[in-house]
Amino acid sequence: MAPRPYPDTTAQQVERGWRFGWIDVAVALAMLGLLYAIVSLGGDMRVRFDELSPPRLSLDVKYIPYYTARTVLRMFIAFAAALLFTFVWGYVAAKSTRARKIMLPILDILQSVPVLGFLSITVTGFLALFPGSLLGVECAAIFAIFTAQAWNMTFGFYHSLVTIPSELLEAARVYRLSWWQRFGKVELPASAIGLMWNSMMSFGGGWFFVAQSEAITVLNKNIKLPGLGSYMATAVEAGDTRAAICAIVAMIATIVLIDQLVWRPLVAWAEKFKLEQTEAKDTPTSWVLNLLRRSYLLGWLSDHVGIVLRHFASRASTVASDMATTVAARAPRALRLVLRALIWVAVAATLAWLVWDAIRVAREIKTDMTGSEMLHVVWVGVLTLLRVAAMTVLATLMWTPIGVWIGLRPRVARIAQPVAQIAASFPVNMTFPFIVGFFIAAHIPIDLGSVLLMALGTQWYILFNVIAGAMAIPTDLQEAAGLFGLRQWRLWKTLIIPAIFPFWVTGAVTAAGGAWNASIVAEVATWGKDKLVADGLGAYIAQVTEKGDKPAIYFSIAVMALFVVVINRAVWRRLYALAERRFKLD
Amino acid sequence: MPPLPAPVSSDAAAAIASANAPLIELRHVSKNYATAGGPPVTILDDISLDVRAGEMLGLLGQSGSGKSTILRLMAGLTEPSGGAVLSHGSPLTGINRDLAIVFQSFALYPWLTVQQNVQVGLIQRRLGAEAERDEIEKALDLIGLSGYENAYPKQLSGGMRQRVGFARAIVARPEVLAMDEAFSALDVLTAENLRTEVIQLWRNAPDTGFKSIFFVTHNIAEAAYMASRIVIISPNPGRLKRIIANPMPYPRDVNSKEFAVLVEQIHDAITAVALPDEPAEVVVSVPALPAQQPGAEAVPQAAPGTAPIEPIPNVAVGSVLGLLGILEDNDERINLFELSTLIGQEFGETIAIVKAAEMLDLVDTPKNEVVMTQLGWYFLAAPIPAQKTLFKRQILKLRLFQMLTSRLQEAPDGHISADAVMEELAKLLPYDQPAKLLEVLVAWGRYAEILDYDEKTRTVSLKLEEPAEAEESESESRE
Repeated sequence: MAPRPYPDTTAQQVERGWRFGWIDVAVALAMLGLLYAIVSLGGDMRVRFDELSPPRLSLDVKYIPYYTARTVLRMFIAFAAALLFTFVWGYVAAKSTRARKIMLPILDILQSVPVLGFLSITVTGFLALFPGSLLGVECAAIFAIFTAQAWNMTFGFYHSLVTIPSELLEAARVYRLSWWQRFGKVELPASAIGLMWNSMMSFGGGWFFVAQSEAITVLNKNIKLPGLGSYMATAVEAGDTRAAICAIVAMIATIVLIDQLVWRPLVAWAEKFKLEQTEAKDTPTSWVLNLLRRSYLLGWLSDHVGIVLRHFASRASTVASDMATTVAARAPRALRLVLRALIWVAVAATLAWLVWDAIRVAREIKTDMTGSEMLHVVWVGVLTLLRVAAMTVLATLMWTPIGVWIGLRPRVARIAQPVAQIAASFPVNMTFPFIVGFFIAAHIPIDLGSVLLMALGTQWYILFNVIAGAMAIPTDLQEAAGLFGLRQWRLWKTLIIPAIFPFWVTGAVTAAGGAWNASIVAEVATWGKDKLVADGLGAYIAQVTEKGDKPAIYFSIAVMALFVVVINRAVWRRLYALAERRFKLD
Repeated sequence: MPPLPAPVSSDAAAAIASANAPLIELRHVSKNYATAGGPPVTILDDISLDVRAGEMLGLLGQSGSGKSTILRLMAGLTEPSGGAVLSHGSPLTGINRDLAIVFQSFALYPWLTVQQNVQVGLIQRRLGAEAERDEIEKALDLIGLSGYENAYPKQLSGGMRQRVGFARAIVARPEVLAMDEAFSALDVLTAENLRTEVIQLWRNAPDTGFKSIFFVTHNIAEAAYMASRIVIISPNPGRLKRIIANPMPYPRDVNSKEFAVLVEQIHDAITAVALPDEPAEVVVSVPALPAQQPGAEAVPQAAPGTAPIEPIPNVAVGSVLGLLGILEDNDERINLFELSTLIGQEFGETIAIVKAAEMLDLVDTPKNEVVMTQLGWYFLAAPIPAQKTLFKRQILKLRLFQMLTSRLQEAPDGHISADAVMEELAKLLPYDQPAKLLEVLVAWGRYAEILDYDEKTRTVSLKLEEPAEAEESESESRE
């Protein structure tokens, strides 16, 4: 074999198998199995649902795989929807400066609305949409997970699109790539890495909400979708500790497995989309990806089926863009004006409908809620704000030293970082009942305990961002600090705190946002027959949702969104700006 | 501004141009960009230029002269604010189909292999798969990339990457090959080699199908080596200054006398524009001149009794001190172009440094020479505190600093927000970027210990001699 004229790279040149082997058997089986699972599980979604005798969940351990599969399917459907939303919303916002002026603020508001608030608002509507079937609840759950994932991903995608180096886009224009070709060859690859990391984070965050939305109480009715979250809830209700522990183990196993089978291979594969022009020394690897690359079957499919599809898509897009240009060139001005007017009318109508709906809801709130009740909602909002602040401060004090210690030791960091990420994905709300049991036994009031419950899920964001920050401190700065004998407080003041500050801000924003979301779960807790309710906005929302008190639901969610928006503007934006200006290490 | 003479300035150029209509033509083109919170900045002003069949047109100018913008106007990537861009005599709409660009940063897609990257240039031609492969192979052969088809750009050296850029442009079969500083990101040897190859490609035009090459550069030798016609533009705003025909036959010998004469000619043209011997041409004089009208710039004269407001070149104080050091080592006198080579800076950069020193009366520039003044000599010999005092005295003679300090003295709380200063600067010097200018003002003012800038509040203030700072540093050292 002739020597290659360029250096070998490890990731890209794993030899492809030259004939059908055991890997191909595995790949084929996996593909068929996946197809079968999706079809049969999807069919199960349309189970009839009788309000008088709701379907019971079996606590038999052997059903856990089935329930897990249902939960996972829910996650992926929601993720697919979030991805679709990301592409459309992010792309339009990036391409049209005019649309951007409305689309980004809307996204900003949506991001501030608590995820479980979306569930509260939409579940009754979805129930009405599919009477007598669990499909309505299914949709509400999927929608809630969607809202947990979509906004963040869309912001990430938008950001990647607007930061593509201009010469790459100019080249695409000079060589007259069609819209589809430009998207496929330039825009999508250039944003692939950002999109992937954002997806990974958002997907991880989604577990919390899938676990929560599978077992909901709405209009005083207890509805359980078959899934791991509801299995856990049932186990807690029945006081079956063994089943509960099995569910937790299954959850952890699922998160690790999806990380290994889906995200790791994607991370390793996406390496080639890095915009840097130099080759990285340390490239992520994935054993799954290496196996798949060796598969003869996949190679064959890519060579024979994939290429045909790609050609077809490319041709179709050129034909479509040709048609679009000829139509645009031939269409009379009047027609174009009419078309543009139609778009404007559609946008205006949607906005008008939204405004009208908002006014209607506001009227309802005004007639149904007294002034003192509204004031009460704001007051409990302040209480929850204090809890969120306490959580952020405590988690920072606790995890910053540990995170720095880990981050300055690359070997430890390599193990600890993925662990922290998985910990952040784990839906801790599954374990709340146990902890609440402990609170009851130890006589800890839920007003304080709920801070701990919030922290359980969100502290990890602070930890792994601090680790990342400490890992990014340049060695020469560390060496200089050592040389000048900076130690302890002086070292922290001059080097460590400024260096990790931007990372800490990112982590703390995510943690605080998560804490607001978690408050709806953390401020109301049940252990068997005992129910603890804290004074807080989260608890308030949970209670009015249970009662189905629509005006109160809308009002309390709006108040929470307002709190989040105000805190974002007043605190986090400024800290971000400060980090950007003063402490960026480039 | 008087109308430009017809672009044909010598018989030789006329011979090259032949009878064909220009492939691309700019007619009285201007270009403005909106700035945040200020009036628009003019990048290009009344540019008339054409690319004719059979020529290698070189556009020479320092950074910020808008030369890349001219290229993008020709490509249809951006639209003029005034005037017209014509292609084969008719107005250009959308992307110019007859032009391909080789980019400074290569603009290769890192996720595509060499072959796939080159294919991007072919997409518009809509060939079959078979014909596509043939074309790509031919182009890669021509440019010396055979064997690299399946490599990724990041596995290649800079020179090889730019070859991919050329191959991508070649397969697009353009009439005009446009190069946007195509060699400036490469090391000296690679760039030299690639330039020679491009000339060879050009001379074997039937292989590539180009009718003309249009290139943009800041490198004088490159323009002299490659171009059959050289257009010199000056910055702030970009204006056409001179057109020089270069009929020397290819391949050119850089050591020949003709070449040296040509380079000298270009040098003189640039110096005459950047460092005129007579007092600097005033762009806007103080304070109330009627609003800028196109073509009115030739008129302004400084109002009697007021020094003109001159922008301060974006140069670090350290560079000015370094210049004095170099002058001392060279008997207080050096040729501008020797200086440029000696300090390894591009010519525009060198001129900026010299201009800064000249504004402070530290050097003088008769013709192409830089000469140290008496003051410069004192400055160099003085200890640091005295240097600072001298520097302070000199910059306070500049109108911009005078105005800024008097504003600051009038300001009720002793400081002015950066935005307010920039707004003022944008009014006074419409062709300069206010943010850059403020940066230089603060940097010089800090060195002279007259100005201070607070990063947190984004305000400029006068530097007060406070003991606070000394105290703080003392407490630091005590710990």
